[in-house]
Amino acid sequence: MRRVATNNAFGVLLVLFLALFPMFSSDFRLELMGKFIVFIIFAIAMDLVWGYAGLLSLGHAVFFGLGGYMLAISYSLQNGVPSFMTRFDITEIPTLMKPLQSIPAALLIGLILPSILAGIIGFFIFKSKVSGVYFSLITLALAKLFEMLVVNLQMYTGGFNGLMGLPRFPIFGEPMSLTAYYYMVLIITVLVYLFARWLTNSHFGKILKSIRENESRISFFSYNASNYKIFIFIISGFLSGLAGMLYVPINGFFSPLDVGLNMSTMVILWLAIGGRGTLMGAAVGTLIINWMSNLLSEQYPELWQLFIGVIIVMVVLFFPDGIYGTLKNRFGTYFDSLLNRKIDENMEMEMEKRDYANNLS
Amino acid sequence: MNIAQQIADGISVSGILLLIALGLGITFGVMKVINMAHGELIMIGAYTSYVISTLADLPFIVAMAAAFVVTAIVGALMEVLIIRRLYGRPLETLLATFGISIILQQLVRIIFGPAGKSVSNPFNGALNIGSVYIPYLRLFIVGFAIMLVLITAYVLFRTKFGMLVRTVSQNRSMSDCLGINTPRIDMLTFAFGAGLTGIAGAVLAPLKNVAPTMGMDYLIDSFMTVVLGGVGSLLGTSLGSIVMGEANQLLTVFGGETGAKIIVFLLVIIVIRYKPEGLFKIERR
Amino acid sequence: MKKWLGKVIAVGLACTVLLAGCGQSSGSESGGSEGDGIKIGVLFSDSGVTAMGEKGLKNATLMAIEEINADGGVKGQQLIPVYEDYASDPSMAATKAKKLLLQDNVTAIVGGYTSASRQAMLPIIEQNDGVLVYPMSYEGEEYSKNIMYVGPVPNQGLEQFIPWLTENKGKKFFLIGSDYVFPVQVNKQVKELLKLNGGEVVGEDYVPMGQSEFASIVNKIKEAQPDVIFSVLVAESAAAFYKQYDNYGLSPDTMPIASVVTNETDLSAMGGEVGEGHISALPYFQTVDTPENKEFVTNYHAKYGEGPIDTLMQSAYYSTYLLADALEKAEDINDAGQLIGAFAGLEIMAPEGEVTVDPENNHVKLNFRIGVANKDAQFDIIEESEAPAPEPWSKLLFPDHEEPWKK
Repeated sequence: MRRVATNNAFGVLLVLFLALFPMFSSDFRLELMGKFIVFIIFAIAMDLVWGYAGLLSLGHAVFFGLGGYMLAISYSLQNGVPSFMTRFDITEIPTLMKPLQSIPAALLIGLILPSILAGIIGFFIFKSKVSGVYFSLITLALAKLFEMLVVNLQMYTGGFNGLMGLPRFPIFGEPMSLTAYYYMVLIITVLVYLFARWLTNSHFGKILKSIRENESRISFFSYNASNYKIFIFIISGFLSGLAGMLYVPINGFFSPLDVGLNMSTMVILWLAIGGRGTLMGAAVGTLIINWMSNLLSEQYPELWQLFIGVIIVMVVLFFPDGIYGTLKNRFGTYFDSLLNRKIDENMEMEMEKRDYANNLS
Repeated sequence: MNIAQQIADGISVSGILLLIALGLGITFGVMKVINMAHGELIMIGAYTSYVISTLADLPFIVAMAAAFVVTAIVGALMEVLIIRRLYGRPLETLLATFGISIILQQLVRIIFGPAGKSVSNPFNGALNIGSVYIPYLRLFIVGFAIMLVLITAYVLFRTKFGMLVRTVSQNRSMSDCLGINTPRIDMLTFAFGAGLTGIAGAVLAPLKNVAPTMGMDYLIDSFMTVVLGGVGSLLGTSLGSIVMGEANQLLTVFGGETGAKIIVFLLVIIVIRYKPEGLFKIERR
Repeated sequence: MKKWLGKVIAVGLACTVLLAGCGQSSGSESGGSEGDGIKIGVLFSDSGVTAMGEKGLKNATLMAIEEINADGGVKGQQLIPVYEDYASDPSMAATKAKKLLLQDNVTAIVGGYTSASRQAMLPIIEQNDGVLVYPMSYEGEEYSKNIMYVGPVPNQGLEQFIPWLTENKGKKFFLIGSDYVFPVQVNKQVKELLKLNGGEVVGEDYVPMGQSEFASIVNKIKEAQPDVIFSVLVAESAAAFYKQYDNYGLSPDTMPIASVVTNETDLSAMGGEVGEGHISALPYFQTVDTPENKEFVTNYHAKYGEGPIDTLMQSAYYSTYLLADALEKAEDINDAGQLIGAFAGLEIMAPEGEVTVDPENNHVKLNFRIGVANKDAQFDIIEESEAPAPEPWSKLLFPDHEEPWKK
């Protein structure tokens, strides 16, 4: 329980900062921040599978992309048959895509489809002996596959060029202002965070963590590890799809680069650099890396990628717990002692163990 | 459609896959390092070949040798400076090498510029058997790939170094106890794998393009080839590349270029799912 | 030792963040104080896949700005280039365009490369009433009142090229391209033109972006025995295809590759002996014999070193000059409508020869040349004429399309 105070204090500060951000930021920076907050949802979704269940998916952007494409295609269908279809002599909206003509339906599909896909993939993979690196390689192949499909089915997806001119923020009919959309995204993100925290602190979350640490032992306690993994994968797919959909209106553009290997590796980076298995690390890493990329690329357009590469290597080598993880480990205790909450560490570990044993039985 | 030609082309594509996957077979297969900078090692090999054979106008064989040396050095540096500190944490190695791949790409871009470079073909002409036509360059690639496999097999199974490599990969702590200098073996193994990858880049340079971003295309193909055949088995990697290459070429007849790729990837996924040990892994124990 | 190193790195990381942050704020301050300059956004990729082509465009644009400034600038003011890298990512192009317009308050942007990057920027430019000068050839079927399209649209390259090919090289065509909109649209017009000129299509194939294995395509081509291979392969695929064509012993004497995209940069990536004998139709080749071009080539080489110069770089170069002329002509340069309006009818002596801006549709009327590649990775020009007027909606494909600029 000791760390919760730090987490709470930090989280409240961060949300406060983000909530006040529109007061002192230009529209341009506000929009960037909005985009990055959407990315936090994606990073949290990734953290659930990687940080908590120990499954490094190299193709998580597939779910992000599926959600995003549903909404983006739906926007494109609003004014009749879009030009990327007429170019290939499609004069009528294909039957399969008709439901996407309605935006609310698209919103629903964009959440359900990634969840179903995640369920299928999860069922396919976790019900076998595939694990660790092989899981990562399968998801890598999936990301590549999805990217190729999107590019190849250009008469339905806009292909390599992507979908352009997507309207800004008309999620509920009337267009929203940037600030309103920003706050909506922020609130959704906070809710997602709270949900994820509740989930990971629950009995379910503890089982997940123990699957990560030692799968055979937890199976020995007659828990069906694969069902837990499938379930968390579905939740993660759902949240990734949500992030993808929130991203579309604020980016105004959606292309295969947002759904394939590129995006899949980016989210891993944010998480690794922020610190996985903490949820807050997902937020910290996402914000730091994205702001840094943006500001560095403005200052050093020819060298910024070099900096990013070096930073990645350095963080992996010297801060294996990520930036937030390291800060928390080092200063968390100090901070808590300021709050007169110093608890004997051994005592606490003892309690945690007992807690854990109770939950298991 | 000339099926015989398609099969012959499949063999040449298999040769290319074998060439790019062989080094990965060592670094990933034997050492269990997920090297995301594998493609960039190919790229460095290709650029070395550009410097030696186009800029310095030296014979192609010199370029190949130089590519081996240069990438082996880069590999050794990678191992000593970074990968060594991350053994036992495969996923972190993945991240670190991803960072390295960004760095290497950007460095090459700064030195040589982003535009593509040319390396001239050392083997002009083609072998013509009936209706089948195989360029000497592709023939050379297949032959050379087989030769490299044999050399690698010799090194791994017939030399003292190879014995040490296998010993360390099987039981590191025991090797340590026996007084084997494991860090040195690790470094040399990784350098060897990297060097093989570099040669692949040098040999492919006249056939494909040479540019800072070229490595990305090879990375996934290499991993899929190694996994398909069976991680940690030379024979597996060789057979895996034949299956991938032939499948890719023959499927283009029915599915077109993209279709073939998509089907092959699906096949690989299914194979990993049902036979994660690979199609051709022979249990040795 | 490890702890110590960790601390150093932590400090280093913190410094980088601060550096980025501080640089940012100081940058915007200095932007505010320099009142007597006209800011021009320059937006190309320095990294990522398309950087291989874009670097030259960036160089040429910056060089043009320098030359214009040396000549006294525009309206007595200096042009201040603000360069941004978008890393070959269209989403990032949109972000950067927005940054240039809103943070830096640039008067206009010269930039964009792929259609994807342009399309991603388009709504941003329109919403914020900016001006984009786009120097690339593209597939057409687009018009924005905020974009000046300075590259050829397909009809300008094809209307003369296809008849020339059917007359001089043969009637049977094999069409090949990268799998996205531009090649598909170009080949659509090629097919229409072939119908008119008695040609036929004996094969058509598209490969995924970035593909570098062409064994089965070459196999199909050999089966089909075309007289001309018409290629719209872009970026790295182009060099790989020409190389493998050469490997398989095909000869440009009997089966040349004809292209409206392959330029000097591609030739130098594949090597002179591979490209030799193949044909390209483009507005400009490095070998164009005009005094303007000699000056351009000499200056470019003096500034950036010996390297291939291609039509896209040239286009970026004179685009910047066109922009300067329009800035000079427009009364209120901060009014996008006036600035774009000022482009209409402009004439300029570009390295490629005379270029005129169409009075209505924001496209340009440029030159048409056919070149045969030689051993030195350059083109020998064998045909030269004025290109037809730009038709963003090709009259051939869209005989009764309502032209949006007339609304």
